Amino acid sequence: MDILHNMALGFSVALQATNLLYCFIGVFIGTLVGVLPGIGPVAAMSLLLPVTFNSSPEAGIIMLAGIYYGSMYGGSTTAILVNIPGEAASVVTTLDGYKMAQQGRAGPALGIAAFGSFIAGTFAVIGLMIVAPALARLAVKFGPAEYFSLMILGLSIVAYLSHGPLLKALTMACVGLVLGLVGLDSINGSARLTFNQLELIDGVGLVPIVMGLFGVAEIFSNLERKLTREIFDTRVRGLLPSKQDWKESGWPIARGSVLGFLLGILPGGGAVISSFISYALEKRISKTPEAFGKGAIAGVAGPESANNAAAGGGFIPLMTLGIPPNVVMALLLGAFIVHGLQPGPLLMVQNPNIFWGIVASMYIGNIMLLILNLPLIGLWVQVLKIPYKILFPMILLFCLIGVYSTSSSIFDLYVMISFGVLGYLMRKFEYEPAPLVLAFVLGQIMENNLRKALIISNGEFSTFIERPISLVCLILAAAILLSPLLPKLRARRKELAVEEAN
Amino acid sequence: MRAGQAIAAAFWLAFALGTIYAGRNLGLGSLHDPGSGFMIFWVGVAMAVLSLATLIASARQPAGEALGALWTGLRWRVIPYVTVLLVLYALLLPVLGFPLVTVLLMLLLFKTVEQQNWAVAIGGALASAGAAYLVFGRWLGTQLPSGTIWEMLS
Repeated sequence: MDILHNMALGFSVALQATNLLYCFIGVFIGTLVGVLPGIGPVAAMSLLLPVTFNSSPEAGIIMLAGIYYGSMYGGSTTAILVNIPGEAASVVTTLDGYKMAQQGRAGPALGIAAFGSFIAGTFAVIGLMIVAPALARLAVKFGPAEYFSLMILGLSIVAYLSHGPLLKALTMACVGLVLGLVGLDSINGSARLTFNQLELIDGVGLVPIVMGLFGVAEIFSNLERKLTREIFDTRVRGLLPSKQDWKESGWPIARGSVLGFLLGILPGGGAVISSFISYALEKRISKTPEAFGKGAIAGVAGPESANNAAAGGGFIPLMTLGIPPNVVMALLLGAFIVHGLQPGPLLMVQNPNIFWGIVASMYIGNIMLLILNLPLIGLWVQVLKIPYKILFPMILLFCLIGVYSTSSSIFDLYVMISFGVLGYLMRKFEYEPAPLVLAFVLGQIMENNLRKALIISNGEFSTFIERPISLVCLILAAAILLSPLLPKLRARRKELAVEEAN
Repeated sequence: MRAGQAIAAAFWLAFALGTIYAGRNLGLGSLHDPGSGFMIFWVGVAMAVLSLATLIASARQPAGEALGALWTGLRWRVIPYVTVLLVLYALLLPVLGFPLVTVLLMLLLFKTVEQQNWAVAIGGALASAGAAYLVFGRWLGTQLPSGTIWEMLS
């Protein structure tokens, strides 16, 4: 009964005209950035973070969340019609989706991607409703030691799942932690690593760093090689999948939904990994594995469902523990903090309208996406035809003005440009930006919890291994970090990285 | 690529050593009461160990291709060029103001990076500057710089 009561509260918030409008803007922009290669949900969300300053907290977060799961929908369109993933989570969709398009079955491929995404997205929201309150009750028992160890686990998983060598990913996590500690010490108020720059007293801004590493660096990488794309130039018809299509896609959608949701909850998991694992799983258990890569509809249905379910599952650690499991959630954490809210176990007690409003808006957003993606497919195809040479100056301008608008500071423009160059060079030398950004967001929280845990325990490091939850997290983190030493697991990690990089 | 990997690892090692130094200067405190530099120092140490390990690993790699191979066949000159344009934009924005600097930047990006014809370059520059003004200046209410030079002249 509690859930029904809470959902009624959530819908009363989500159905307010302003929140509906923000939800629509979010899923529309999300689909757009998902469709357009060269700008991903992270860059789009940081660009639109200032938009949320003028809105209520729930409206702003509803919009940002909409961008995230909307981009998962949009990414499949580009993957199927252009053979270029609109965002990383749609990489595997290109394998069978584009082949289906070449065989004249672009319609069913787009249709099953949209329906699968809708079903998985809805499943994830229901899962969120059920799991989040239980996890929040457990999280109340967490002390500083548990939080610190959990964040160590999250960073270890993110580093493990990065493309490049583990050593480099861990180095990036350390760089992120240091950058996160720039500014005033939250315990004694002294300035740290500010180099007498007034602009650094409040720390380095999240938006300029993210826009630099994910927006400007992406543009630089695209500019140095001529970006060409062949658009599947036939009218897309017959979006509704046939009975046979449904028969072949039903179980992949179900498995993708469960798998994606579970992987989304794990720190460091998320949409990209879940789509790859779903594809591998479907291929492994299929009676016709040879059909995969040649236009198997299960190869579209499974991964597309998995990445949407993961997008929903990722909200659980953020909203119940206050710990973002990936970079996108780190940005959402930033949005919560901007509005004076602290996500965590107390969020649904102290701000039930916000928590349940966001959950309910995801139901509504999923319905909006289904409506947007099927009838408007022609519009998205037209958007795809805009040449990159026209798009890139506009994206750069929106990055510049977007960053300026968050703080009205020219200094932040220099920060963004510097991180753009750094991000470009990092790509060249195989250093991943994701562990850096996640560690940057967690830096202050981690330090706070580490120092509090040590103060409470009278300087005893054993507090981290005497508390069971903390011990489990540390053992898991150690197992993950040491696993590349085992040849078989090292090979598996490389396999995952190659699949993802491809 | 060995040289490239070694240079990158050496860069992060230098960054780590700077971090250790800064952490120590900030004060490590004690385990009972960790100081402002406690975590910075230990993260610096971890980073130094990791980058040193990367440096050693890169030294063990076969020599492979030279560093320049990373940019072979690519339009690498575009990157420093666009970077300079962006820095100039940041420098001139408060002086010349949003409208003029933005139109100039967009015109240069359209005309010189991908060599569009003048009509597309001018139209694109005006349209994108206008759109940015409408979204950020009007809708979001951002105070876009009007330019100190115009204030001085008037």
